[in-house]
Parts: sequence; C-alpha cells; structure tokens
Amino acid sequence: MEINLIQAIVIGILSYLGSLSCPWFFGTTGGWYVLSRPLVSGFLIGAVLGDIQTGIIVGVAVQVVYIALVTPGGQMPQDLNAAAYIGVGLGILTVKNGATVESAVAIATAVGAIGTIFHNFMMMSNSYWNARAALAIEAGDYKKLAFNHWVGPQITQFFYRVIPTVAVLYLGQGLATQIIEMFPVDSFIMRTLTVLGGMLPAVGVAILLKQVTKVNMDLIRFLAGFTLVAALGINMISLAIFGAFLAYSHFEYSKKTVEVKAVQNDDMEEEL
Amino acid sequence: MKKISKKALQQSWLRWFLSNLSSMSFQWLETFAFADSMAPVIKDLYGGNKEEEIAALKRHGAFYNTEPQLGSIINGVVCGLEEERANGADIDDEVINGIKIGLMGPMAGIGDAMVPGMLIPLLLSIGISLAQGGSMAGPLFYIVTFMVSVTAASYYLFMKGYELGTKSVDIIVGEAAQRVREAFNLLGAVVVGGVGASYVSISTGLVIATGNEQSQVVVNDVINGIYPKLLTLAGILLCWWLMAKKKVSALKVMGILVLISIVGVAVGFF
Repeated sequence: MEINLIQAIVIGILSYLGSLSCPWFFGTTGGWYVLSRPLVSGFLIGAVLGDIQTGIIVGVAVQVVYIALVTPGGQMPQDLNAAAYIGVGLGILTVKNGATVESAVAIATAVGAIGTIFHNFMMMSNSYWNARAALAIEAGDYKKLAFNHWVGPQITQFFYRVIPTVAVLYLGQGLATQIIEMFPVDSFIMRTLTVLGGMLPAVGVAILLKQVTKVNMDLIRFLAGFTLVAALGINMISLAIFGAFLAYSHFEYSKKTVEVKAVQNDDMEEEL
Repeated sequence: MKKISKKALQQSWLRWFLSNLSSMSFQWLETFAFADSMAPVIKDLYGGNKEEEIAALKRHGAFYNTEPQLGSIINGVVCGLEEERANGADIDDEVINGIKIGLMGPMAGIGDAMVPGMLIPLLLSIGISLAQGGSMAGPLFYIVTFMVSVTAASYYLFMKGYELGTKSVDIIVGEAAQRVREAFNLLGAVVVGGVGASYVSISTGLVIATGNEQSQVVVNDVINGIYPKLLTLAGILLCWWLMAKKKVSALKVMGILVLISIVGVAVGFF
C-alpha cells in the first residue's frame, strides 16, 4: 500500500482541523477532543486510504495509550495530534505492509513525543499575534483584534500541521516501511516498544488519579474501581453506574450530616 | 434599561465556543479569545460611545484561562455583569476582573475533572469496545455522543450564567458546589480505576524452572493469584507517586518508563 500526494494532503488538512487551536470544526470540542482522538483519526485516515477497517483497528490500539491523557495549562507530555495523524497514518501503512499492530502503536508514541516540538513552536509564535491583538484592544479596533485572534495564528498553525504531516506521510513512507522491516516482531527494540506501549497509559491514568485524589485515603476509591474491573471484569458503563451511585450517596450523605448537626444543636438548647 | 439582545449573546457564545484556544500562547492562553467573544456584547451595550467601548475591551484584555468547554458559564456571568454595569450599577473593572479570576480556577478544576477526566475516558472506553474488529460503530458513537453532549452543555451553561448573573458565583464556589465537586472526584476516581485496569497492561514473562517441565513456576500467574493485575496496579501507583509526591513531570515519568522497559526486556523480566 502507498499513500499518494492527494491522500497525504487530505490527511494533512484533517490533522490541521483537529489541532488544538483550530476553530473551524466546532472549536476545541470538535477539533482537539474529537478529530485528534486516534479512535476517530484512524477511522478518517482509513476512509481516505480506502481501508476503514484497518484504520479503526490501528486507531483503537493507539487510542488505548492515550485514553486518559489530559493537558492542563497547555503543557503536553505527548502531542496527540501528531500521534493521531502522522503516527496512525504511518501505522496503517506499515500494518498494510505486513507489520504488527503493536509496532504501529510504537511508531505513533514515538511520533507523539517528537510532535511536542510543533506544539511548543505554536505556543511561542502565537506571542507575535498576541502582541498585535493587544494593540488592537488598546485602539478599540474589533476587526484587527478578530484578525489577530482568529486568522493570524491559524496561518502559522496551518503550516505547522500540514507540512510535517504531508512530508512524513508522502516522502517518509518508504523509509518507515524499511525501518519496520529491519526490526522483526521478536527483536529487542520491538519487544521493548510493545512493553512500553502497555505501560504508557499508566502515565495518563496517574495524571487523572493525581487530580481526583486530595488525600492519600482517596486512593481507596481508585482501588475499588480497579478491583471491580480487574477481579470481577465488569464493563465501563456498569462501573460508571456503580460509581455514580457512590457519588450520589456521598453528595446526599454529606448534606444530611450538616442538617442533623443543626437539629442536634436545637435539641441541646431545649434541654439546657 | 439596556439589554443584551439574544442574537449578541448567541454570537458571543459561538465566538468563545469556536475560538477559545485559537490564539493561545504560554503567556496569554485564552485572554484574547475572551476579549474577542465580548465584542458583540460590548457593541450592543455601549455602541456609539467609543470611549466606553475601548474601556470595556481593555477590561477583558486581562489574563484569562480556564477549562474552555464548561467554562462558558463564566462568559455568561460576565455578560450579565456588563449588562448591569451598562445600566448604572456600581460595578467597576476590579469587580469584573475579580469575578473572572476568582471563577476561572475552580471552573478549570471542575471542567478538567468532568470532561477529560471522566466523560472522555468513559465515552472512549465504550467507543473502543464498539470498534472491535474495525467496526465503524465505535468512532461514530464517540463523535456523536461527545460533540452533542458537550456543545449542548457549553451553550446551556453560558445562557444559565447570564440568567443567574452573580448568583451563579455561589453555584460554582459555594457549599453545594464543594459537595458536587467532591462527588465528581469520587466518581472520577472509580472510573479512572476501571480505565487503569482495562487499558494499562504490565506483566512479566519470568518462568522459574524447577528442573521438571510440568512443575515450572509462571511468576505472572503467581502474582495474579495474590491480586489480579498486581503488576499493573504497582506501575500506575509508581507513576502517581512520582508525579503527586515527588513532583516529577509527566515527560520525565515517561522517560523512566522507557528505561524500565529497556532494562526489563534486557534482563528477561518482561
């Protein structure tokens, strides 16, 4: 399987539409949180390349690594957009040429780590447009503000996303296939990358865990969820319903204690 | 009595919803998105009085950053405040800025815990299970459920914030909000536990030979006999401990995992 130039450009534009700051496809909600999920990008790239099934299989495998990745305050340990388009794109290509899905995951994670460069470039070059937007505010110029907020940063962002994606997918496809062929599935590098692919989701899970635990005892909630799935094998919807029951009880119970205390105080006053 | 037209409110929400991160930089993040989204409202309230228009734009050119999707409630509240101010209420720049700064932190906490912390892993888990074997149902399920629910929530919260005005401050930082946040943290922790058990996978390939082919000890089975997926759990807790207690960055933790994988494979542990 090969990617032709037009296909590479279409994938590049999808990559731009899904990038963190792109407003054109339902803003952050439709772009970053939908188009840049590997589950969705695998489907779309598969459709462009004419093999939706392989696309989704690779997308799912890469998605698992990033299922819990949050990006607080614009800091990114992995660039999901690069992983979702350059990574999944190369992954689909190599899988079609005989590589395993695990090696596709390894490629995507490597690309995701390198891709943080594009994100940091954008965050820096936007300062230029920000300075112009600040001047527009001083002058009360709505049009200039809108241009430097909506259009200017998108010009630079478009090139940051489209050029690397097209270049890597179109020009680098032969090289990627050769590299994969150099390292068979049972080679040291591939085994390491497969082990790493299983471990990496732990980072995202730990970031979330850090967010929802205020004191160490809160870990017991995490352990309860972990145990229900690991030991009893219940699925995620069932777990969410069980968790919602606990959360609702917690909400109701913490309210009641306040009221009960108030009632007790009244009683004590009467007795006194 | 000045009133912001429905159309200006809808435009303001749409501008925010689409472009909240469009001009983000390390220094300014969502600042100019907020200022730009206020443009239709400012024109509606102070249109014709250029001095007031410029003053209002400058008011919203101060640093701003929150969870952008559910954070739309703050935009709604600020629209309500601007309307009161235009009608002569004693609300100066400091009050409006104080409310924005006071709400953006708590809203970022609630929003991050609810959207990327809970809703996304949950919907993705369902999407992934529907996508088994390469079925289109998986991605389509995620696209539709996420976009519809979050877009609707963002619009509803914006309008609700405008309607309630300063009353919604109490809803976001008050006592009941505190309990809601606690409850969502609990639900989040349970869901994260399930995500960890489903999608992190660490196991050892160690086999202890006893000289007899039948009685060799598969270490992974022994470990799982003590507690299912104990190694996976230990791996997650190690990452959590490094980040939460030792303040190691996520990127460095990934580096540590790379080293563990290389050493582990080299010595035959994995």
